[in-house]
Amino acid sequence: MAPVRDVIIIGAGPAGLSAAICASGFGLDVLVLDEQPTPGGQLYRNIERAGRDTLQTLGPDYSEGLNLVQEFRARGVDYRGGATVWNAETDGTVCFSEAGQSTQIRGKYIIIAIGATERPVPFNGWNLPGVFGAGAIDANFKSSGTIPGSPVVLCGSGPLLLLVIGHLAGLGVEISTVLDTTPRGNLLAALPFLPRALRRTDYLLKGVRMLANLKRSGITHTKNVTEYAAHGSDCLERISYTANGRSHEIGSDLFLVHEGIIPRCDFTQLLGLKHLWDPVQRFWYPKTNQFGATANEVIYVAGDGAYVHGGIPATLKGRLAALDIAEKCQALPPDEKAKMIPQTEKKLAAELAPRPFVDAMYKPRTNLYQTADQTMICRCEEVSAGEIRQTIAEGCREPNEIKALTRCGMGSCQGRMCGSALSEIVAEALQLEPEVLQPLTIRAPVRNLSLVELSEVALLENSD
Amino acid sequence: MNHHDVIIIGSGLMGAATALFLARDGKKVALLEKERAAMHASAVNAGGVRRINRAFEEIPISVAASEMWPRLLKIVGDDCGFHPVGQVRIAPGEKEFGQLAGRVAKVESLGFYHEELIDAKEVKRLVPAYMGSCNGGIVARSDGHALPAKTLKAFIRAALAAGVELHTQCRVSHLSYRNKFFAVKAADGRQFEAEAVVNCAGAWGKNIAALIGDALPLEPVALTMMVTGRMERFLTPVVGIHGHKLSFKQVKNGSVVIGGGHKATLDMQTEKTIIRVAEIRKSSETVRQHFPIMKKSTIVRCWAGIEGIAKDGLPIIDESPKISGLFHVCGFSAHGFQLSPMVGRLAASIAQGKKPELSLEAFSMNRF
Amino acid sequence: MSLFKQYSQKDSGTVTIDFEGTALQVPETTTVAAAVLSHGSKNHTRRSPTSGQKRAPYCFMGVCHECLMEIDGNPNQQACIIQVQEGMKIRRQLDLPGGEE
Repeated sequence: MAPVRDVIIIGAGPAGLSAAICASGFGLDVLVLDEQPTPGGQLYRNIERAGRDTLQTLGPDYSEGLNLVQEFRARGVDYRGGATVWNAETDGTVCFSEAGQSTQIRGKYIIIAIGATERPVPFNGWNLPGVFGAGAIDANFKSSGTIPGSPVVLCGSGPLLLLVIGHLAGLGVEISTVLDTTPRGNLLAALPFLPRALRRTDYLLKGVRMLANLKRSGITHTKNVTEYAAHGSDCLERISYTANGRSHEIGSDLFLVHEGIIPRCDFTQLLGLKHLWDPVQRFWYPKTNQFGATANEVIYVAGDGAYVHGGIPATLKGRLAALDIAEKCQALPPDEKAKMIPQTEKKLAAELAPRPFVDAMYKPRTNLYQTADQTMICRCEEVSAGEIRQTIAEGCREPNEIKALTRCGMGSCQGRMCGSALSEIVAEALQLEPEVLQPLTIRAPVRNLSLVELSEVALLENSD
Repeated sequence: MNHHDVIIIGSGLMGAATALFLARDGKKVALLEKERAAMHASAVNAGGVRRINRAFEEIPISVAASEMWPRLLKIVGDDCGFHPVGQVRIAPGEKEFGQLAGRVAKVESLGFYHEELIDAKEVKRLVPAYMGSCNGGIVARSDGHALPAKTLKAFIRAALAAGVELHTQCRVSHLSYRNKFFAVKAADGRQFEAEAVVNCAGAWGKNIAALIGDALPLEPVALTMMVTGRMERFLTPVVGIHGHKLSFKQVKNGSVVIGGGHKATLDMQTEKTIIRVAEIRKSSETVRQHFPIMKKSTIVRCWAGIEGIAKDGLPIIDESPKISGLFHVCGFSAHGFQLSPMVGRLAASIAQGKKPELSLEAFSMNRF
Repeated sequence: MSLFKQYSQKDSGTVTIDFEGTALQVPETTTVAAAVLSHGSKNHTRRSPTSGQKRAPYCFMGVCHECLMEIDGNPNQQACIIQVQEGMKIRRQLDLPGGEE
């Protein structure tokens, strides 16, 4: 393997694939490192093996990815599936683990295209087997063809939740009930963004259709759910929830929860890049320009990892990043690039027209992280909200300080599941916005690595 | 204008401990911290509490400190997670054993008996997981380890309870002396004045000293730590290997904490540390060679704190030779944690113009 | 009691894996986590090393680290992003590391 590549792309979802296709089209030497075994990211997960039934059930939002993946394969781009990146440095050096062996390699440019994740929102009992992310179950079906084995309760808010409900219904999964946590006032607050969104009636109609299908299905759709919890001795047995001020309880083996999507900032935080806080959707995202370039010459971010906009915008952003890099590599003359950009940007603008409306429509409820004291915030180290609040009462004022004292964020997931909640709990206790708090520090290796493997890393300085 | 008897710059352990003892001596103290919460060397070090293998000059302070550690519950209201499980330093070969034997002889000649020379059999008994070559070693049986963040928090809490005023997000940008007082100004405009100032700014000690024209031969450095997932208990004492960069301990919850002085990249502009892959690779290799049981371990995370180190590796604990009333207490990289309770006591004494309980001659700035 | 079941017998091939001594025949693109939760008749993939609580994957995409399993003797493998291979040996990590000093 050559030690230095023109572009290393981390992630093979829509953004990564699109960037790879574009960059390789200009003759650049591209390497794609993908922790998934096959290309597609989360959105188009395992799409090469999807049968006709699956493509039909999951609809065009999924099936349109097949062309993209096939084009990617046809280009013959150097693709490494099952390659988990665990370090990235500001000069483009990257370390990845593949089949138990780690290698250090450098890219003249890096495109971080690792996408987004379901927002981790702790609630009482979320650690019980039987409780899953709703998108997680969708991803599981795509990758392994398995579906829930008993009736499910779905809960939360957001376009992805509606999509998953549609998929599960199409797969014949029995849905006991849908608990909707979308706050009552959201539609009203989103109205100012509706005119712009109306430029994309197709997009809005899709959402309307999903809601109509849900209504038609007869599945109980409980709105204004403000609180919920999972109960059971060692796995899920019952779910309790509050809707319109009244408490309810239902028995269930499966509880699928989705409270929005947030960018994965593992590498961008590791690299010390500037991040901005979105106060509506309540997440950090890396600061990038229209090409996805960061303040670091070498590092680009494309796709949902730059900001959560969905699949088509991700492909367009991937392309923009690749075009910018191609110019920097002198594989694309500036005037040619100038001719190509407007078309892509115009498409992107059209895709993004409905987003402010959608983001406002699904703005998370204000009590999202106001969990009871006994709720387990850090799943890995089992640290409760109460313990965190106690530490704050004793004078702690920063998430990293609380981490050092309570072990919250010190486990295997390195704070991925508890980080958002920890900041929000500190912010609430101190009457601040999470924006002013330092997020949990991330350092290499950003994935668990066996000591043996680490002791045998093939270093760049030793490569021929 | 905030007027105090003493201003302490830096609320790491040296600053917090000094503040605590000054306050208990009846002084009005302002403790200035540039972060929202102290987070550098004191909060993230390896947690080793040792007298073993100290520079000879440090031994008296270390031995005095070692009497305070088991009594921290009384002193600061928290046991700080101190476990006196012992510290062992292994000699892989005859040469190393010879060096350690020479060391023990010297230590004993100074009147201290905490380091015990042991044979290979005793090493094996104390550290059964060690599979490297072994020619004996030394042990300090009541050394051990503690929890850095907890310890720091306890000292700060005790200092606050004793009446110390803690000012956070207070980055000192100006330090001068006029009309019998030191004037200290923070970047955001907050102002303080006092008859004495103690510079406990750790890796930033040189910068603080420079504000008033003092030159401290001190450099910032970042040393790497690695920690594994939980493992079945296989190790009780803290272990070092003479001639290798390795400090190795299995903490209460079963995780193994690996240190040893591997450098990380330090950016003092952003005050961030970056792990060097080549260094953690070397560290892992050393661990694997000597402790085969670690072959099944998983590294869960690494970190590197920012520490200050003086030119000769010994700390600086002294009044400024240029400006009386200004004291520098910095440069403890890799060997400050255990000393801190006693250093606080000593620094509090010299800051009041009193004779320190132990000689600080070896740590004087005049030695440079 | 399985939390999941195979949706349909896809026309993809199958592989045989060893789950804690039991041979399971599963579709070849199944992830290890999905295989255990659907064919292995288990509702959990590990016990938390902190308390021994049963845990199952939450995110199925490599973020939550609840899916850590022992695969072919290697501990702490992210089972939700690893595809099964013929002959793979899979075990749940159930031991609670013991022992105070």
